[in-house]
Amino acid sequence: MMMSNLPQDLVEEILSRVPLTSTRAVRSTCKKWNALSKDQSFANKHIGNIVATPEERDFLMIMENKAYLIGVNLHGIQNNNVDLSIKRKGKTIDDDVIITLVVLFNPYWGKHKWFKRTNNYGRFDKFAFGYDKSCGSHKILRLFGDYLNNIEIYNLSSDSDSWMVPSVTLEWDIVDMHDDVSLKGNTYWYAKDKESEDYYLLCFDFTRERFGPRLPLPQPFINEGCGSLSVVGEEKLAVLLQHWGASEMEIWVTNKIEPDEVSWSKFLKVYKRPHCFYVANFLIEEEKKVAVVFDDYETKSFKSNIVSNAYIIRENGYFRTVDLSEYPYTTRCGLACSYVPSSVQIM
Amino acid sequence: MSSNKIVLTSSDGESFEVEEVVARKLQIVGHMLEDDCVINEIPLQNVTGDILSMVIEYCKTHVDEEESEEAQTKLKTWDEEFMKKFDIKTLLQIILAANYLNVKGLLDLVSQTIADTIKDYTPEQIREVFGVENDYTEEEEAEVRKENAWAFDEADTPKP
Repeated sequence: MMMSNLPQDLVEEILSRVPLTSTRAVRSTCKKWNALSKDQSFANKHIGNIVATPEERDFLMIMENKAYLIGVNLHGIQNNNVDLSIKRKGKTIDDDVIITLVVLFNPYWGKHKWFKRTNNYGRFDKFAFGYDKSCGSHKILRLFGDYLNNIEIYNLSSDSDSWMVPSVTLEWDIVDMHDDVSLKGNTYWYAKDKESEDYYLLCFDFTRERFGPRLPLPQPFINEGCGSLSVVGEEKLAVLLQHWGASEMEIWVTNKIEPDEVSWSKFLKVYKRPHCFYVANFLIEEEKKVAVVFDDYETKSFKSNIVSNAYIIRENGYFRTVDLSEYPYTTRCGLACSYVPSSVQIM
Repeated sequence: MSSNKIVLTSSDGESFEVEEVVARKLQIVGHMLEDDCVINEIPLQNVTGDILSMVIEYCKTHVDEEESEEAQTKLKTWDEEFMKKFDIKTLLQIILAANYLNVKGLLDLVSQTIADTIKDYTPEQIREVFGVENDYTEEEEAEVRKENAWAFDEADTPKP
């Protein structure tokens, strides 16, 4: 009895349950499996199975201009001694060019699309990736200019290989905006403009091709805090808010989020954090009530040295520091975000 | 539920007398019973006795699938132990039988078990264990590996 004796639909049934880490091995086995694995309907089924039964949460980390796929698993939640296991699952982008070019990449297909940097790209330009539900195409938004209120859109389904200037503009002069996160096809930023009193949440709606209103953020530390954003699964956003001076910190999660509407619930509060997080990339396990914050910390000893840590945070003052140098490949975390596999083709 | 007995006969002539509720777990049998309710002996042409006995063992255990978490955990443990009994060749025979007899739960279980085996293997090991012919030329294989070097891969990714 051999695998080749099985009808095609049973081979599909089996291969659609193989973890994504074996994609390369499966495709290298034989031509038939390679073709099957690249079939769109198989890919949809495969990714559906993987998403429905995650063995562990996957995250994408960018470190020193390389992007890695990382599996993060939290152990010992029950006995109150939470440990972190970080397993590298693959290198997705390995050239040192990701800061100088715009690249779109879907690890499932192994294909990538580069956008050559032209002379008019500025160093502080912002790029965002989204999905237009009305015409089913993916789009890239570029924000540029002194106050980031000039915009251009690139439609990936369009034959004209060019950037278009939409009729709408961003009516505010942005003075700070960071942590662009993509959620349900739209992009959100933690932003502040010349006229706004404090930071707010800004959304670009890729379907309507326009910006939403200034969306309120929770404000435990009015004008005395800083924040960062993270995506929780595929449906929610989380914001981490720190007080500059005092050692308080809060994490809030959305109940509802749309380009023009948001509501928040407090996820957890920390009264004593060791220092102000600079990078503060974070992720949360909502059901387990745990947050993990990745941060770089500069030691002020004899020789200044950057230490990368992960902090495991729970309610009731639970706070544990994990030195990331213990884990291979996790030096200087530049970005950590949820990774949900997708079978979307980027052409 | 009635304790009506049904006799299932395998392709090599082995007969198994089972409760109707167990036989109905084989959807192929369920459909036959709906069409004509007086049948009490059913020949199953595409499955041998040794494989059919294992399918029946699975169906007997899963005859009442209780909702409670405790019952589910117990069943899950049983499934794991049950799967450990078989080598790959037998698993492939069971999946064929589960497909023919239309036992969805068993089909899912065996598919997952085989998939879990594949995840630990290199392409060479997969070919050997599953009897898959390598139809790539050396150059083609190198090309496929290179093309997928961007994908999810733990192997040969040295520390930066």
